[in-house]
Amino acid sequence: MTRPGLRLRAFAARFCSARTMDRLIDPLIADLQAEYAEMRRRRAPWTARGVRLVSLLAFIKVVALAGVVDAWQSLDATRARAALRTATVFAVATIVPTIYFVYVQQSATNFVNPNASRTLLAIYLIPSVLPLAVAIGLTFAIVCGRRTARLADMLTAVALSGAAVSSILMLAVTTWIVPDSNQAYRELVHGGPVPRGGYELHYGELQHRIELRRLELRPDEARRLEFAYYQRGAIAAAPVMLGMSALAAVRRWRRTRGLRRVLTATGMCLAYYLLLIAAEETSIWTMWPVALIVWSPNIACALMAGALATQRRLSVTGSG
Amino acid sequence: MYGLELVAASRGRLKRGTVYVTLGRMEDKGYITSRTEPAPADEGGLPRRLYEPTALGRRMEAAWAAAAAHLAPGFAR
Repeated sequence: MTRPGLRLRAFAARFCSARTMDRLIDPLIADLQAEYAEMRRRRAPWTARGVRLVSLLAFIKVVALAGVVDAWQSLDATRARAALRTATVFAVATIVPTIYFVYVQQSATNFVNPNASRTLLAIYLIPSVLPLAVAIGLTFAIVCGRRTARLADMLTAVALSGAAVSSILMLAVTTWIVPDSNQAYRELVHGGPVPRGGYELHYGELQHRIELRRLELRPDEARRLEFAYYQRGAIAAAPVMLGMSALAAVRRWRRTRGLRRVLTATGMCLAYYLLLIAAEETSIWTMWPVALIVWSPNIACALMAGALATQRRLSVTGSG
Repeated sequence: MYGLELVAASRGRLKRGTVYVTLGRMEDKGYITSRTEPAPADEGGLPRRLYEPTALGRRMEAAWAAAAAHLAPGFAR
């Protein structure tokens, strides 16, 4: 019979320091094993199972508390500076495009209501520009955030996880916040209620309207609404797609330094943005499947990441 | 005493998840010491850690108890 707690101990040993293992984890596991053995001796199997469950909860608490303390104590000045640099690059590279996109959108708006508060309008625009801005921020953070271009496997995993979490959050933003913030923007611009358009309807309503337009034999309008429908998911995936390409680029072009890295990141983001604009035009002037058109920038990112990764693998095995 | 014995003796005031962290901090401050005790040969398992107060720990406990007794009437008013 495997003693309880050994797998938990092995798991904790991956992250916790030797001191934490000796002072916190091992005493907890040892007490769990002794208590479990006592319950088994008393022929109380359900109490023994309860002991395991309660000890598991205690283990999670201990690891969470100790993990924070360990991480703080092991944080040396070099790593702290590197983390701060990456975070700063991410923040700047996210905020600057956000301000730019909001400014461009406001400049292009025809204000019917002269009393519309510009600050409030800017706030209403932020959710819709945030997914792309976060994707740009992530790209710059990955490509330019570190002094050296070397990216250990652990950091790659952290960057990919961060990109995935960002995409999930952006999906929540585009699904639940953007329709209402867009509508609030339009109503403030017009100074009163206006009917909701494709970018202001929630998913269910949008789907219904697309079907209605098809039944009314208005395929052009149906395609425009379909574009709005698929674009939410596609734009939410931008952080993870651009993040993947950025990681592949950093691992492939390790010797790239300074300004070249900034140009690489800028080029990648600009290419993605131009593909987004091209996708919108393509959906109007062709009859290709709308979903494919909308997702084409993300597909291009995935292909680029795959090509760079394959190139790197070939160059490594070729020289080995 | 073992960590779990302290939890049982405290009648719920100490929790399993935090008792080991608290005991670790008390040991860092010198209020208690600990030593490992090998598990019985027939049971096996990890060695358990026994905790006992130091002289400093006993003096600190006495000082806290005296302060609590002195201040308690004031809080009751």
